[in-house]
Amino acid sequence: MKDYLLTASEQHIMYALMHAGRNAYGMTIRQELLDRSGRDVSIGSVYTTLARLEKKGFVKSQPGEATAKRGGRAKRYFKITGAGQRALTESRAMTERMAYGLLPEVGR
Amino acid sequence: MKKPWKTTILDDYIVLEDDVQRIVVSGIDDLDTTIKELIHGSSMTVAELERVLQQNLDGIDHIEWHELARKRMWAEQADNSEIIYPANVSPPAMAEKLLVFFLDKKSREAMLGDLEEEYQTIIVPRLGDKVASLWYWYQVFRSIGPTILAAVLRLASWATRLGGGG
Repeated sequence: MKDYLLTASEQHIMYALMHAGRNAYGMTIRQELLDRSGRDVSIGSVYTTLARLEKKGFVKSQPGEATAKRGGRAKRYFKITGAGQRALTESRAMTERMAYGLLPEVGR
Repeated sequence: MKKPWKTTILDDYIVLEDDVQRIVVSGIDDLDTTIKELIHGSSMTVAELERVLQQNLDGIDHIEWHELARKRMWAEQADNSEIIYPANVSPPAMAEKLLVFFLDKKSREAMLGDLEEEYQTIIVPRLGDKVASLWYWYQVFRSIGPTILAAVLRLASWATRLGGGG
């Protein structure tokens, strides 16, 4: 099967998801993106990207607890899969191969 | 007799809701469709529901129960003087309805909850309820765009497949 290369947004969401760890759900993923990249990504974009990644098998989700501060609505926790890890590694490697020799920090 | 549950049934979990509580039952991937249909819109009590699930799943260990008595929780927070979310500060109802209209069933619950959690815990304390309402409307409009775009792309992909197959 041909490797799927993740878009920049997909990679950012997956890194944010990994940083959030076991507490990775919509709000924490959005906050990680904001804190680490300065990008204020809408919650709609976060979920659209997560749905696409889940459809491709790169992340999986499960319902979590509901709390009063969420209006009694359940969280949905996300976790990166093995296929997701491989796609992320390959996408990053591809970017580095393309940039090799052009940027001093990537290589000569 | 108990009022019928408002039920949302997806492949892997069920949400049952009435005026005072919300129950999320996950890990039901193996549950037979006829049982899901039996639960849908039923008036069974929590104990009856638990019995049906126990009889039709390999083990109750597969089920995680998240029971929330919403009104009770708010009352407890008030009793403990730890209430930080005043009952009258809630997101603009119209904005919520607008978002519900455009969201797909699977992400609706979680996305509305995430938005309300951020609104309640970060935005209202920081900006006050009036500016927070504007923030909520802004987030709704920003979120609708990608949701509509995703729906249009799904439709286009479906139409392309249909055209290719004919």
